[in-house]
Amino acid sequence: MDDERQGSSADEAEGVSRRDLLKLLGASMALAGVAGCNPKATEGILPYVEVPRDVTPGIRRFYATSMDLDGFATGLLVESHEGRPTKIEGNPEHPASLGATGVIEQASVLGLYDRERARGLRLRGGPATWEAFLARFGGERRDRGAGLRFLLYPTSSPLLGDMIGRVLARHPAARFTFHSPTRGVRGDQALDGARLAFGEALLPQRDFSQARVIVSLDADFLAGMPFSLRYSRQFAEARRPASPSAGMCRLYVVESMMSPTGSMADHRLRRRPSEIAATAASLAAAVARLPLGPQALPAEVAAALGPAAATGKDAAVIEAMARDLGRHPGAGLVVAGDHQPPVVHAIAHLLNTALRNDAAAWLTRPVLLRAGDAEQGLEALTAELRAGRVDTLVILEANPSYTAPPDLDFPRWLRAVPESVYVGLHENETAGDCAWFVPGTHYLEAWGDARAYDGTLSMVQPLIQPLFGGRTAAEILAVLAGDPIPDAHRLLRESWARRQGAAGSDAAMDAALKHGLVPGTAAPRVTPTLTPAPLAAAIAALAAAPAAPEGALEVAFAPDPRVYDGRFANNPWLQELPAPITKLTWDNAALLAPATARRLGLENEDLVTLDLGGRDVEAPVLVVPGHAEGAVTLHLGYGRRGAEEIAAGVGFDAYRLRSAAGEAHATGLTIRRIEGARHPLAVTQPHRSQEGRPIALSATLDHYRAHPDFTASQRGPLPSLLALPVYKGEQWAMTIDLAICTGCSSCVVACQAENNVLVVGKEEVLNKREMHWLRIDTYEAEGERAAAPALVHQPMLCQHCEMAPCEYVCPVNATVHSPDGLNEMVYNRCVGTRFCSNNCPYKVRRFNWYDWVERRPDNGGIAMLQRNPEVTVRERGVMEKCTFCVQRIRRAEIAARVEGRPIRPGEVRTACQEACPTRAIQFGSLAHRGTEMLAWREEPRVYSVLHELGTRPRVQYLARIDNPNPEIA
Amino acid sequence: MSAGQPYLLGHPTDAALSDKLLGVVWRPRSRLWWGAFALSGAGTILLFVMIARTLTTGIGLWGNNIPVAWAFGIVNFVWWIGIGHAGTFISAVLLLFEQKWRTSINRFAEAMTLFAVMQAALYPILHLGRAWFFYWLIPYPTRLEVWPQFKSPLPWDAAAIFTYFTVSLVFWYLGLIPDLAALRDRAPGRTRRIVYGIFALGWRGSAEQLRHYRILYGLLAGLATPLVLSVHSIVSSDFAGTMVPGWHATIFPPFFVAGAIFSGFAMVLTLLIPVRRIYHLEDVVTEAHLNSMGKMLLVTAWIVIYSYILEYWSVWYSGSEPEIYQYFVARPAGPNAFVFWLQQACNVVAPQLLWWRSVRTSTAALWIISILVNIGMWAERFVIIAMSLEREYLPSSWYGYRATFVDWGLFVGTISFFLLLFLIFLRLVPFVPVAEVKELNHELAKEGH
Repeated sequence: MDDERQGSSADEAEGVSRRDLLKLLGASMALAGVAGCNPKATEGILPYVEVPRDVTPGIRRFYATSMDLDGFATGLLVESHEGRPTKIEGNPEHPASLGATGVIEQASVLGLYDRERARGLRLRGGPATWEAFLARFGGERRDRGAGLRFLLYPTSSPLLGDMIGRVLARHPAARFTFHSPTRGVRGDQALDGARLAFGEALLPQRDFSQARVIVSLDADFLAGMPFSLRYSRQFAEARRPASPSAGMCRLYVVESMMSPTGSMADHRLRRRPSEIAATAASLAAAVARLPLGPQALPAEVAAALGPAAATGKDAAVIEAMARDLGRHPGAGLVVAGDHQPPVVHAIAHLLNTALRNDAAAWLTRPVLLRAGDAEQGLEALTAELRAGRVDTLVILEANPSYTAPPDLDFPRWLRAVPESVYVGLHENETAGDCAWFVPGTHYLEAWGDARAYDGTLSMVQPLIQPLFGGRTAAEILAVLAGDPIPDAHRLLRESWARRQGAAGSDAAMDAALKHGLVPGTAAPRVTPTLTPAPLAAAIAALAAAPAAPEGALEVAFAPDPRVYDGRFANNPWLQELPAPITKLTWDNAALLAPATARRLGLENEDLVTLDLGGRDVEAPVLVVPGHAEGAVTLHLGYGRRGAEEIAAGVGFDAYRLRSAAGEAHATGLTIRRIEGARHPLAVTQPHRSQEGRPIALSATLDHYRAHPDFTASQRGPLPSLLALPVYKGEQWAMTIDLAICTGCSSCVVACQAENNVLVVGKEEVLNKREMHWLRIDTYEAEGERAAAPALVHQPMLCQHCEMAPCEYVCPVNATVHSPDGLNEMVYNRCVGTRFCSNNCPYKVRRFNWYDWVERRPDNGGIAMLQRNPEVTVRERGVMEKCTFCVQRIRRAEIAARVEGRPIRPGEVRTACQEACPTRAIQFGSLAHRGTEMLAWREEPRVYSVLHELGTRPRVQYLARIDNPNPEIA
Repeated sequence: MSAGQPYLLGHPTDAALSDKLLGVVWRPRSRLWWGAFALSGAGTILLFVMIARTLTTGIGLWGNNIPVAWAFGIVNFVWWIGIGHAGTFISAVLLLFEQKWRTSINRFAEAMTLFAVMQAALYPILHLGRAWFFYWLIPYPTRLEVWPQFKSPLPWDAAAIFTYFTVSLVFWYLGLIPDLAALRDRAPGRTRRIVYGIFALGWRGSAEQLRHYRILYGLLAGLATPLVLSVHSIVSSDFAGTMVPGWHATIFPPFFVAGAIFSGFAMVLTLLIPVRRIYHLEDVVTEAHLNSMGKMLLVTAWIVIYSYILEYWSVWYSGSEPEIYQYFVARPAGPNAFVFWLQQACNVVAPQLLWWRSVRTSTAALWIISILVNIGMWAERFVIIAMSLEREYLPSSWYGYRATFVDWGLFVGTISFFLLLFLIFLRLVPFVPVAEVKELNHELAKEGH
């Protein structure tokens, strides 16, 4: 099979040849408007701000598009150099982005240039043609589609809705299954929760900026939910104490695995997964006892809540939480995690209703497409496959052979389907089980649309022609609908015109494409009323349910914060990104609490057999302080078995333990240590204590108010015998607010993408040679909060010290200070003594131990198309480090000079700053006035890390402030 | 020194001394010599293979990382440079102090210095990420008008090593001239006589020549003496000049010099004792020599121990938490802590045996102690250089260090190369300065009367 695949593309094994590269460049130039011979060239796509008459070499452009993840779109602006997308930024106009991006969006541009993307059609191992596919699937069927089934990711795309309608018009008996492992096989828990509370399936919407008290019931709303980027911004607005007297929201988190949200919590209740519902109920019971006024809670429900009241040591904490919520009527917000059972969502709705939290929590109609009667779940589909009732199964992008619960035995029945089609980027597990393979498109190659979590219609436009002749889901559906020459762009225009009616002009669509969205299309608020009876019944059932036996180990399954459900596992940036909290790279692990590890006699890197319900996997152990005791968290998305080489062999496959009944969590896990077996884990920060040193400062709000100057010893002038340099003109500096840094790590990937930071692989991370210019140090908080344990995240990058210790030890003047205050690295001059790194107290310098491109094929080949042409790729043997995105500074300088004006405040934004969802990173010139960067430096909690060393860093930090409830000791 | 013990046994004639000491050069090579040559030759081949791999593939082949950006390479460099100190110290400083016991061993020690400095000089170059640009550290005139950065200790380091090597070479060669002349006169075979003749620079042994020779030798000794102090002081500023906890200490220059002389004497003993035995030189290198060397070892050991104590005291006194952690937690209990304890055992405990005269005059005991000191001084450099970097200011960046096969290959390779050069040296020129021994013989004879 390999030989045949290579036959279809001679260069496959070699990555990309010069000829291929030129071809791709040529093709993309053509797409961007230069005359080319491809018919698609005439379509034109629309730039964000100005219509390009031509592409000017060396001048980058931005185009708006959207990335859809499990049906919810995030609006993006994509930087393009001569038709080559190189960098993702957030679309400030888009509600799901507000200008920020997450790690997956940032890394997605590298996914476009994945050398292991499939390059041609295939039929049972042999090459096939698109014409053959059209001939086979474009024809009529005699059974009205009774044997025709589709499986695709959940989607909100109106275009796909249209196409599904067209398929159903032609094949009325066809059925559609929307499946993503991150949503429930048995339905969407959030919608079911709303059905329980209000009698109809509704989607919870939130505005965290309106909340003074937030309770998260296992909801990682800052990093792990569809609208997390927006939530993060809102949270930061409510959280950031601009002065000691300013208010801060208070965050309570109930969860088992420490999440970025949990790491921001003022109070974090560690609960096993099965206990979270009970904790939610006891919180509701405590709220029910508050004097909230008549009829705040339906009497029936209040009665049902009676037995749920908390007992024991937690009772006081939960009572205090309830009182806190009660003190802030209308300004509270209870959020339930997507993976929690419906009753938890229902309790969240109940509490938000009872506390009149309308400003912060409301509901809309669901955003994801439903196919009505033509929709069926994965279990029903598998049953049909087993019964042999399906002759044609078309799988669009989803990867059920890998992700489906193993008790369904999906791959086996899939292989039995006579005509199966897989459309996707890679020849993954599912592709291997299907007869037909059609290359899919990356979103940067596709025309389409999708909705944001709030319903806003978002546009997807391609930045580049499909590199490997891929087809979009809409095109494939169009084939089945009888379209002889499907074309995604035409389909989108037609669908747009049909849906918009008279308003559906090309100009209106062009405007939408330009902005990446259609404003004002967010789903309207609905105001349902509680349905007390089913809610009371569910709560009563919950209270009556036997508690999980003490001592039985529980397991929680969660999408990985980096590779998600595994679909991004072939992205080396994501593999090498230290996971927030654990700092683990190139692996997943059985995450458990220190106490649990002690009880089981386990330590880090022990290889264990995890056994659940008769199925087992081998996994390494990683101890995570803050994890709930008696539970193990397994991240999904590893142990891939497809043709993707980077993903292959990385981590273990947690899906193999995950049954349809226990998708989110299950009880009865057994762990057996494999004697003598160890699995090294590449953790980038093994040491989390600050050892009492003033590094990541933190304090409670009360302490801050009592001692606003608590960081005073860590800033200000130090006695010095040296004359201080005098600075003139622009002086670049950065201020980072630790109070709102969630550790989400978007900035790390953004920096990597912007600055051509290469990947080193697991072995070299184990050797501590990762190349990230910016890292997130996560420390345990010192002082009052040390016992919690509370974490503080600290983005650590070159501090651009005014008295830089690296500069005076370099023997060849390869690292010097620029007149505008940058600590510069002159790669050409560097001989690689590494003396600068030794003398850098912040350890932010990175050395090119090898020629990384030579060493790792995924750094070279087609991945080189992603490189930022404005940033040098560093040679073996030279040192490198954060430059404050000097290329952006110089670009702004040139623009200012051409226009004969000074650089405007806020004109230069670094890559990390742009990506940051909470705007915790502010950059600018000390010479400017009125920027946030400068205003923050006036706050009393500003300080420099390792101030006593006298390095005078240009990066200053604002101490982390927490706002614990004084009632809770 | 110890009265009554002669530095030369018996009263050999000049001719007997010439035969005995010069004969080593042309007597047939023994099996032992060939065996040692083959072994060190193989090790030298390993060295060059490892050098080739490092240059073509990258420093990544070493165990270095961020934070431990300097490790084996610099440890070995400092260790070799330290060993190189004894030669000049014995030749120059002891000459100026008119210590007679230096006579029999100074050639030996000087050769050791040269070869050790050659090993040492390999490392800073190999250690560069882009070794082919090593000359950028040298202030050569260029049209780019880019100079080295003189605030950095490294250009000074390069200059110091280069100066030291040059002066040591000239000094060694100058000392060789009378013996080369003797070889010219006595060596069998015409070719040898011609070659030795060329290098003897027309030495006739006339009173005039001897007078000039003595003046020049004395001047060079005066020139070399400050170098003994300056080279390792400058090397120590590679560390003292930084702010790394464990490096940042003003005591480093004298401390490093003391350590260097300590390790240099140990290495002289390590090499001298077997050579003395093999070539039956017990009457030229007498117990009195060993006794004196043992005492020097003990004295320098105590200077080093005193420095250790001072170092810990000043760290405690500084009150700087990262420094205190470095010295009182990371070293005795951090990663690679066993190296720290090895250092204490070898450098602090083992030399105390030298208080006993019987130990100082027992070749076996002295030899073992000298080897332990060599190991201990290597361990000290490892502790200072690599282990300090393992535990710097930000705990987030704390990480251990482990040497790789290439690291060990280079280390074993330089030891082999060093021994190889030494074996060749033994067969090329007399390793005991014959002329000076004869002079001493006459002086002793005169005193005897």
